[in-house]
Amino acid sequence: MELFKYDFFTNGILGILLSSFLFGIIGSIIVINKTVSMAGSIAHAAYGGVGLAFYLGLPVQITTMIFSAISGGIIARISEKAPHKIDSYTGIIWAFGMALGIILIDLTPGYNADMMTYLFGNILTITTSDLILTFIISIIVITFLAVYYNQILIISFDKDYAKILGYNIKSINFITYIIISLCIVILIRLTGIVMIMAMLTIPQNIALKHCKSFLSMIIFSTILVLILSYSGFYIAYKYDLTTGATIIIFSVFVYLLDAAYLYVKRK
Amino acid sequence: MNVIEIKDLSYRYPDEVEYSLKNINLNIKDKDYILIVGPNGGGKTTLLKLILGILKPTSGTVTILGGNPENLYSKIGYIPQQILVKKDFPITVHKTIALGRKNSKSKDIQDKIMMLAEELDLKDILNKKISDLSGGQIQRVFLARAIISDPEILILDEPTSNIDPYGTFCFFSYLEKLNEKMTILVVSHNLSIVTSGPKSIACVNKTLIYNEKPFLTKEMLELLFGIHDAHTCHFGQYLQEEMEHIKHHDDTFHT
Repeated sequence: MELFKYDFFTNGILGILLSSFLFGIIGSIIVINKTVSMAGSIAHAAYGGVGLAFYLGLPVQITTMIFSAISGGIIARISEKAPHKIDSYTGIIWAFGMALGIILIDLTPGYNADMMTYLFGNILTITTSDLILTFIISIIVITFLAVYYNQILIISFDKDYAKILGYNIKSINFITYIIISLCIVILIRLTGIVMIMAMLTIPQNIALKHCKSFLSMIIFSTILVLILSYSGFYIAYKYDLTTGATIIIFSVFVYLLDAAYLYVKRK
Repeated sequence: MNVIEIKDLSYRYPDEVEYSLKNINLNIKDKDYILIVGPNGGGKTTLLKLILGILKPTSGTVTILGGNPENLYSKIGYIPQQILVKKDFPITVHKTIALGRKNSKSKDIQDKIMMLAEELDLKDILNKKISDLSGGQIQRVFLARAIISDPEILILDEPTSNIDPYGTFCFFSYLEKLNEKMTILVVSHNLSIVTSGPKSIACVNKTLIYNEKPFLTKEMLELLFGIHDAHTCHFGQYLQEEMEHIKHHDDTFHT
């Protein structure tokens, strides 16, 4: 309890709470659509936005958000126009964004220590303004889900049938990718890129095996993100380990434990 | 009255040199029950996607119920190939059927789901996840989803894959009942379906030949097997006789 006296600790705890909603919702959409590599591409291409912001001396968060939204829009367009080539194109965007970021940082005079925070995140350096921005994005994402739940469900399950029913797949896909991009930028700041990929996939894949509906999958994976993150957070504090890496190792351990349980249950 | 009119239809996939379908003409009458057969890669599924409005013709026109297929939303029911179904998706049977209607929150939809569940023997599995069902059960769930909006045309893509013979028999018996209310179009590479109720047949292999009776003509066999010598004609005759024999046997079984 003594730790709550420190702002960085309280902010970290609140950051995990807010990010768990984003991970739960966005991760479930990504996992059921099997678009983890596209999310990875958006996340890594975000480095280009960070580099651009440093090079031009622009606000990092806003510049990266715009850059990632454009990357997300391009990926949405490719997935619509040339779905059979999406895998290759996501790889190109992934590599290009990262390389652009590195080159622009090289060209920026002076040493940019902050770059590391944007690349790898740190739950203990979250500021109050980060929390407010995450809260606003969370409200947007929850509203989007509430309004378009059935559309997202039918498009993810059977795109052809959604088209026959007259749903505007292009628009919903486009909005979805823009929202995924914005969330990823926020989450990079909070947790770092490696933990993003872990928290967007591990809890959702555990939930997928146990849930009958998409909504229950979202709720279950949100709760799992919370449990896994807080547990990892505590273990890292207790044994003086790197927070993000500890959370990931603990999550993979729980995933394997669940897989073993399901295997034994089937036998 | 024609419910589907296809005129001079050709389709070529982007980035491909050859046409998948060339100069297709076909009129399907109201309450017809047509089987579209052809080899793999012959353009059956492409034709189906053009009829559904999922693909746009390179040239020619497709008119459904006098309009554009893209604007006919609930008037077409569709059952996809099972191989395309995401079987690990977190969705129940009940929700899958409900999503067949655009306004799935309307009050009468619950009664309609219960009625279809009763008719198609899905009552006990309404709360089960799609991944826990057998091939035959999945096919009936998708049939319920396709007809919940009372469509005028029902389109099925390879409906017999993953179903056992008894399940196939029950499924096609139900389709015959549905044919009293709607036009049915079945796409398959399985020629034996011809004995299961279709009233007419069309063969697709880049181009299309139609027969308003459910029999394969010599031209159709040439289009399907691509050989023209006497031996093939003899084989074609044999196939035709075999099918008529099966049909006769089936009729006897029905009576």
